Formats: sequence, C-alpha cells, structure tokens
Amino acid sequence: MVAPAQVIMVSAQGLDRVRAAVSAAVGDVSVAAGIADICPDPLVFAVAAGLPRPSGFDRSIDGGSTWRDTAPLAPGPLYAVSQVSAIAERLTSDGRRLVRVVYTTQFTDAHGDRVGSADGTSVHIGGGR
Amino acid sequence: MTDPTVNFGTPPVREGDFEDRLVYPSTENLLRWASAAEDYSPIHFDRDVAIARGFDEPLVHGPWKGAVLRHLLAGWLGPDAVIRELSVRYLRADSVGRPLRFGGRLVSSEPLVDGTIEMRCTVWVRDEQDRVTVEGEGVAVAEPDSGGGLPMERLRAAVRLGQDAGTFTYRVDANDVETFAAAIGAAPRRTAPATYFGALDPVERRDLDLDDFLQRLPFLKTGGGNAFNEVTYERPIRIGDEITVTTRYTEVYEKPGSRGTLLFRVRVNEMRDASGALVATSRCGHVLSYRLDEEDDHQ
Repeated sequence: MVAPAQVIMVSAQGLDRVRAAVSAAVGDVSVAAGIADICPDPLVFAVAAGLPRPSGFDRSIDGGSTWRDTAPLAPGPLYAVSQVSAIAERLTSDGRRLVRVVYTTQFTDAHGDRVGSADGTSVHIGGGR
Repeated sequence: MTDPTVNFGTPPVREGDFEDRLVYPSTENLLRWASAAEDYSPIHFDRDVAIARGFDEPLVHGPWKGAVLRHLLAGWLGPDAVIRELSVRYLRADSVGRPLRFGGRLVSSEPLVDGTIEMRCTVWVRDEQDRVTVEGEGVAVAEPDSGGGLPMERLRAAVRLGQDAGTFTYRVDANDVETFAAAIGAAPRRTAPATYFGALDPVERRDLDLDDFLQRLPFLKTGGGNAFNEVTYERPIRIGDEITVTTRYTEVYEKPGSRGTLLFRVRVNEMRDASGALVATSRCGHVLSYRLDEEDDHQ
C-alpha cells in the first residue's frame, strides 16, 4: 500500500524546530542536517500520510525508527512517498498475537535524486481478532 | 531538569566506548518535541491517559530518545563525521522526568575504496535500573580533505575506472515497455523503443551508485545532468527478454566550463540476453559543474 506523495519544504526554520527540541535537553551540538530533521518521527509521518495502522489490539506501540541519508539536504521541496514495506506476525512467548508493521518513506529532491529514507515500526500485541 | 553543560570532549581515535551522558526528559523538553515531530498523543503529557493505559507516568517519545542519541553520536564522533544511518529499537517505555543514560561504542573504523572512513557504532539508552530501553546502530563516514580541488584519483578508484563496476539483470516486462512507449509518445509494439536502453541503465536505476560522495564535496554545485547518450543495437530489445547489463566506467576527466569546473564520467553498458548474446552497447556521459572557489553552505 502506497500513500499519496507529500511535498515537504526544507527550510532553516523547519530544521531548527527539531534541533531546538533536542538542544533544550542536551545542549547545542553541530549536527549535519538530515532526514531525521525532516521526518523526526517516521511512524507518525507515515500514518499522517494516510497509511492505516492496525487497531483492536490490546497494546500498540512504536517499535523503532531508522533514518538513512544518501545526499545532503538543501533548501527547497522534497517529495515524500510512504508505503507499508513489511508486515509480520508471530506469537509471543506467552501465546499472544504480535504483529509488526514497517512503514518506509522515501525522500527525493526536485531533481529526482534520492535524498534519504525513514522507517517507522509499529508493534501490536494481544487481541486484534 | 536538564544537563545543558554536556561536555562531549574529543572524538575517539580508536574503537571503544563513548563517554555516556545523563539526560532528564522533562515535560517541557517533550512538549517542544511534540511540536517538532507533530506527535500530540496525550500519553506523552497526560498522566491520567498514561495510567489508563497501564503506565505510572506519561511516557517519553521513542523518537525523542533516537534524536538525542543522534545528537550525542555526532558529538562523540566529531565534526568531520557525518551520520549516514541510525537505526534504533524501543525496547521499554521510559517515564517523563526520570533520568536516562545515553551511551554507545565505536565498533569499527574502516577505510573504503572511495577514500572515506566508515565508522560503525552501537548506541543505547538505560534507565535508572540500568535496563536497556533503547538499542541501536549507527553508521557514519568521515570525508578526506579535498585539498582544494576535485578528487580525481579518489573518483577513478571509486568507479573502478576501466574495470567492470557491476552486473545487473533486468526483465523486460510488457507493462514497463508499454508505459515507456506511452511516456515518449511511441506506438506500442512487441519490441521496445530505441531509447529503452536508458531504462536498463543500472546507474539511472540507482542500482549502481559508486560516486555518491560527489554530492557532498565542499564546493558549490552549479549544474549537472546527462551530457550525452549513444547506443548501438545488435538487435531490438524485445518484451520477455532478460537483459544482463555490465557497466564499466571508461573515462573520468575535468575541464573548465562557463559555470565552473566540469567533471565528466563516461560509462559503457554492455547488454546481453539470456543466451549471452550481445543485444546492445550504450555509452553515456554525465557531467557535474562545480565552482571550486565557493563552498556549499547547505551541507
């Protein structure tokens, strides 16, 4: 399943929001701008793009995040396409149903060059029948 | 409570543990994060909601912990390193206001064929009971000093000039040929249009990418694109073909241009069918233009 493409404008103000949120806790650190500044929460980003998240489970949690940078960010538009890239189901050690869904967002610039990608993992435990 | 006076010290020069840091995730920190990440789930700031979900206190955002790890990792590795990939797994929930310890380790530091140094790290977050609540891995690269000019020898080594750089096999499906033909206004046929060879180019498909460091040179890039494309066919590409493409870079050179210094890379693609018979040979040139006397401030 693929969500409609989103256009993200890369700007100094936008990048500063994420940096300020972290700097407030750990102090100023010089970090090269990357996909993590554009897409700080990959799971929230993909669900906001329109992808469904399983419901009806006893517990649903964010299982993890991955950010990959393949080219430097520059001011201007980025095109983001989110999709469900993996779904897996198993039983936990205590017999509960566990479903893991990975949402992947690819980012390309105005030249069509891939700038990076981000994965968000959603984990759902128990119930869900 | 925050720890704004974190001293990151000097970057490690050998494999080993980074100096870990204690961080206090306050409600204020996480409200700032909620705005930046657009995650306003009340479990992160409403105690009643957290209790209803089985927790004692509101929970720290997992990606906030990932972002803190990324910032600390950048400090540990030093200003010459750029983080290329960070992957974290949220193993346990952490409560707002409880101290967390962030740490990691430089596992390996290896030189790559393109002249960069690749550094692989593990990272973690531990709670007050010393339980690991986040674990992950990071990959960073340190670029060598450009020395003021284009890194020609580094580029020739990276693309394996004169040698086979990569071999890839692609199936020529009917829908791909039809879509391509429609895009260029050609009539649908059993054979692919003459320009279809470009759709089988591993570099254009991003399957082969040996010189991506050119996107991170400290020079202002003033332009770039395809310089030329040539193809010689032994026979037409047909729907149903399985084409194996072998790419070889044959020329890497620079010359002055009107918008700066032009960097050319020329590659040859040999396309063979399933029987090994040569179907076509293409020769493609790509150019990038740099102004060497101006730095790229966007990096």
